This record gives sequence, structure tokens and C-alpha cells, in this order.
Amino acid sequence: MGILFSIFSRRMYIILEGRLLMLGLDAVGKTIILYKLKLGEVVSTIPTINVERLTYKGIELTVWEIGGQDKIRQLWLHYLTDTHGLIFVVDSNDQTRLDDARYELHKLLHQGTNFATTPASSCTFISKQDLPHALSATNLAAKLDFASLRTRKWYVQACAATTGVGLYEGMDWNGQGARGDV
Amino acid sequence: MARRELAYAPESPAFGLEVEQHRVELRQADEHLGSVIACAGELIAAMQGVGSASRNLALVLEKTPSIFEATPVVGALASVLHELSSAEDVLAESLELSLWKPLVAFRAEVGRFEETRRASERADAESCAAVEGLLHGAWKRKDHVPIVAQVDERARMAAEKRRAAESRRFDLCRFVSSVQRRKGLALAEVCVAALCSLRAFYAQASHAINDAANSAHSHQKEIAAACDREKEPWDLRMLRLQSILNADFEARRRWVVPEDSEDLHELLDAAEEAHGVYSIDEPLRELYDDSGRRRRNQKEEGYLFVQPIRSTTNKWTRRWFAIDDDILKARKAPSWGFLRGVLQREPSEGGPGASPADPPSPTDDEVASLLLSTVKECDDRCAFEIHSARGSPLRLQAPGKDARDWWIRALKRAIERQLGEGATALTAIERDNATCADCGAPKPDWVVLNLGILVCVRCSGVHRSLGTHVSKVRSLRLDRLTPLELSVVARVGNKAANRMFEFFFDVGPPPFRR
Repeated sequence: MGILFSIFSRRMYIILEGRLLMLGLDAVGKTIILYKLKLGEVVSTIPTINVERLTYKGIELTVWEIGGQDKIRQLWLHYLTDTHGLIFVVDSNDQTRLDDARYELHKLLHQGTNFATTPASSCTFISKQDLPHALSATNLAAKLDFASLRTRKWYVQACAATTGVGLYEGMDWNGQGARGDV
Repeated sequence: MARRELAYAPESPAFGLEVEQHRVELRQADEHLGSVIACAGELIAAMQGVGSASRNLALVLEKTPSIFEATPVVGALASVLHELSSAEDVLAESLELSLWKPLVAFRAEVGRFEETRRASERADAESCAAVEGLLHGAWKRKDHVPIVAQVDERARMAAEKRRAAESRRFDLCRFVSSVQRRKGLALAEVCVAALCSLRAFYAQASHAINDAANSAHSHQKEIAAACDREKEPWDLRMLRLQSILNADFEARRRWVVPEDSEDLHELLDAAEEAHGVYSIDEPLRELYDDSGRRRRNQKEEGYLFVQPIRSTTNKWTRRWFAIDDDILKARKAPSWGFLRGVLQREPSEGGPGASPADPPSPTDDEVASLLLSTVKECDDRCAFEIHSARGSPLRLQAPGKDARDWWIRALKRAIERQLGEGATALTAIERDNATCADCGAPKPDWVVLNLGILVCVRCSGVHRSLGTHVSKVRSLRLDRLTPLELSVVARVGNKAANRMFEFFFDVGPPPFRR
């Protein structure tokens, strides 16, 4: 009976899972966000492709976090399949590379439309809000030209990964998206 | 001639002779025209064939793989062939219009001679019959028509027939004359038109070929220069190889021949001590290091236990895993080649007992494409996980901690190799900055752009955590650096930067320095 129940609960549990893909240019703070969410602490990192599973409000999320170096950027497209939500991280403190970020985001979303399964929603974390020269989220959303993304849901969340401000608000939105998708 | 012949009577032998002569001439002309037309048709067909053949050749040439590096020259030939083929098509068409069709029409008109002649003969015969009828005089009396009227009527009919015959003959003569004069002119026109189109074709072709030949000549010079340039380093390498081989040979020649009394082993030991172990591999590897080709690395394979993560069954299965370039492959047992490698490498470590009993299964099972994968260490059971963008994640278990570390290192190396493939040669920068600016680790490949230094991957994490407003970190291999950024690193470098930034730093080594 116990075995039956455990198998049953396991099945139920598996249904509530989603796959998130976290992308962004290099050194914008993706890994820090991931580990802040996973461990609640800040680690100094090396650039990587990371996979972590975290449970957030009863949903088991597999978060893929892909580095932003030029060579790895070309692989982003391959990770899009079967992804329920996309988290795009932008460094609000580095205004010189906003054009790069906008180009990469729109290129990815444009190419992604050719795939059968694309993330219906994308959430953008505007990171490093605690630094002195940070742009506001509204300002950045305008600069990243989100208004042209008519066919998908998007959400912009200002955050500061080292302190954790704004991370959970963004994850709430992602969690709703994943739940709606599954 | 024609006007003179008008006087000939129909039965005049002179007229018959002339007509016969013309007939023979015209038949010959007809035959001649026939063969000319046939030849023209063949020429046109050949032109079209050449056109299509050169187009095919041009198409094949355009698909020349870029490995040959002679693409501009081949491209010139292809474009000329393209142009020629289209020009040949045009030529074939114009020849058909200007030569073949007029010739056919001309021949048809020449063929009309027989027809005209037959008509004139028929008219002659009719007029003869009419005259004969008049002369015969077999008048049948009829009550109401007087004989005189009948004779009159016959005579008028005969005269009419005669007139018709004359006009027919006149037609024939005029036709012959016109064939001789006017058609000669038409034939000449046809030939001139054909010559004109041929001249246009050859002018166009020679123009195009001249242009292409000039450009191809310059390209050929470029390629020859590149060949010469490339030859030099290879010659240098050849010289170095020869010197290495010669040195080795010298070293060998100095080995003394053993005498009977001496012990061979002692002699060999002494020789080994004197000249070192025979190792040609090392200098050869150095020699080929800068040639840019990837050496085939040692095989990375072995038995691991595997368990799919997040499935209802937690069964561990034993599989033979091998890293094959960019793919992690699994199979039930190693092939005999793999097995031989195991037997030779680790004769003591259970190799013989491992699997001769298992039949080697030749089917490889691709587990993961390493380019899109990541490896994670697990805390327990000497295990590690492989997550791939496609396919479900796997947990693998190695026989020991060392083996686990070795596998993780091998997999990470393979992934890095895949990511860093095709990185541009940055030999000068890497040679000048052989160690990390902060900790001194060898082969740093991360650039701090605003400082112009090279650091190792660990120190790059520290730099990155300072924020992009303090320290901008990029990868030498994974990022595409602009020439400007590279020139900053090339001009500053680790030594100069440390001389400045660590000027007052003389109280022991920096915290990370190993």
C-alpha cells in the first residue's frame, strides 16, 4: 500500500515540473542568480553550462543556465526545445553592451519561432540593480525593444543577485508560466 | 539567254537541250543544297551540344570545394564557360535563322523548277493536241453548225493553247534566269549573315576570355605566391626534422658494437645512460605542435555503471563508455580492439577477467553529444551526472574516486575541446603571457580587457565577481575578440601590468599565487 502510494505521489509530483532556460551575455550574473536561488548564497563562479534542479512552490524546475561567450551563444538555439520558459538576464550596469543583448535576444526569439516547441513566455531579469550606474527596468525594457514581441508573454523584473532582491518575484512569474504550460 | 529562247519552238531541239541542261544543273544544285542544309543542321546541333556541355562543365566547376583555394581561377573559367554557352546558344539560334531556314526555303524554290517544267510540258502537249485536232480535219457534219465555224473555233482554241504554252515556257525561262541571278544573291546574303553572327560570337568570346584570362592570371600569381610562402615553413620544419633525425642517428652510431666478452645488458645500460632513452616522440611532437593540426589523443574509455535519473526504475547497468570526439558512446562490451588496449594497458587489473566471456556487440549507443552537455559531480558513491540538452540526464558511477575524477576531467576536456575548436591562433600573446597574472597558473586563456592581462579560469571568476564596471573578462577561445582588444593585451601583457599594479606589493606572494 505504501509502495503504491509512493509511486502514485511520485507520478503526481513529476507532472508539476518545468524546464527553464537561463541565457544572457557573459558576466551578467546568470550563475550567481542560479546559485542564489538554489543555495541561497553567492558563489564566485567560472563560466559554464550549469544544470540545477530546484523546487519552487511545489514545482520542480530544471534550470539550464548557458554561458554567454560568443562560441557558446551559438548553441543557445539547441537548448530551446522542450523549454517551458526563458529567463534572459541583462546587466543594467553595462550600457555599452545593451545593443548586443537586444540583438541576441531578438535573434534567438526569431530563430526559435521555427521550432515546434518554443518557450511561450520569457522573463527578463535586469540584474545588478544595486550598482551605482544601473538603469531602471522601465528604461531597459524600452531599450531592449520588448514592445515588438507581440506574440509572446514577457515580463521584466529588476533584481540584484547578490542580495536576492527581486529574484523570487521573477520566479513566481516563471512558475506560473511553467504551470500554465504543463 | 531567256529572251533569246523565247523564239524557240516547243519542239526545237535547242530548247529541249537547254532545258535538259538546266535540269541537270538544278538537280545538282538541289543535291548540293541538301547536303549543305544537312551540314548546317549538324553544325547547329553541335553548337547547342557544346553550349549545354560547357554549361554543365561550368556548373561542376562552380561546385569546386573551397579546399583547393583556386576558386577565383576556376570561377573565372566557369564564368567564361557560362558566357560562352549562352553565346553559343545565341549563335546556334542566329545560325538557324540566318543560314538554315533561308537555305531550306531556297531549296524549296529550286525544287519548284520541276513543277514549272512539267506545267510547261503539259501546256505544250495541250497546244500540240489542239493543232493536231485542227489539222486532222475529221469533221463531223452537224446540221446546225457550219464547218467554217467549227474550223474557226478549233483554230482559235489551238492558238490559245499555243499562247498558253508560250507563256509557260517564258515562265520557265524566267524562273531559270532568276534562280541563276537572284537566288545567287540570296545565297550570298545568307552566307554573309552567317559569317557576321560567327564574327560576333568570336568577338564576344575572345573579349570574355581575355578578361577572364587576365583575372585568372593574377589569381594564379597570388596562389603561387601563397604556395611559396607556405613552402618556407614546411622546408624549415623539414630541415629541423632532418636535424633531429640526424642527431638521433648520430647518437645511435656512437653506440659501440659489443664484443664477445662484454655483457650485452651492461653495454645497453651504459649506452642508455650516456645518450638517454631513445625518444623521438618528444621532439617530433614539438615540431608538429604549431602546425595547427589536432593530434589524436589517447583513447578515453572504460566501464561505468549507469542509472537514468528521474525514472521509476533505479536500476544500475554496466556499460562500456567511450568518448569519441564529440559524442559519448555506450555499448555492452568493448570491441576486441578496445579490449586489446585494456589488456595491454592494465594487465594486472582484472582486464582478462573483465569480459572475454561477453560477446562483443558492435552496436554503439550514442548517449550524449558533448557539445550540448554538462558534467556534474555527485557527493556519494563515486558518481557523476551528465546532463544533455537532448535526451534524459544520466547518473554514472565509476569504480573508484580516482577513476571518477579522471572521467570528469576527460569529459570536461572533451567539452572544452568541442567549444574551443577552431580558435584562432594567438600564439604570440600566449607565448608572452605563459602564466596567469594573478596566481601564476600555466596557460591562462581568459583576458581582462581593461587591464590587458591574461588570467586563468579560476582568477577570471574572481575578476568577474568584481563586476563589469571594474574588470571586463572575456575568453580567448570562446569569445570573438576584436583586433583592437587583442592589441591591448599584446601591448600591455601580464608583466607590464603587474609591474604597475603590484608595484607596492612586495610583502610576499599574492593570495592566490601558488
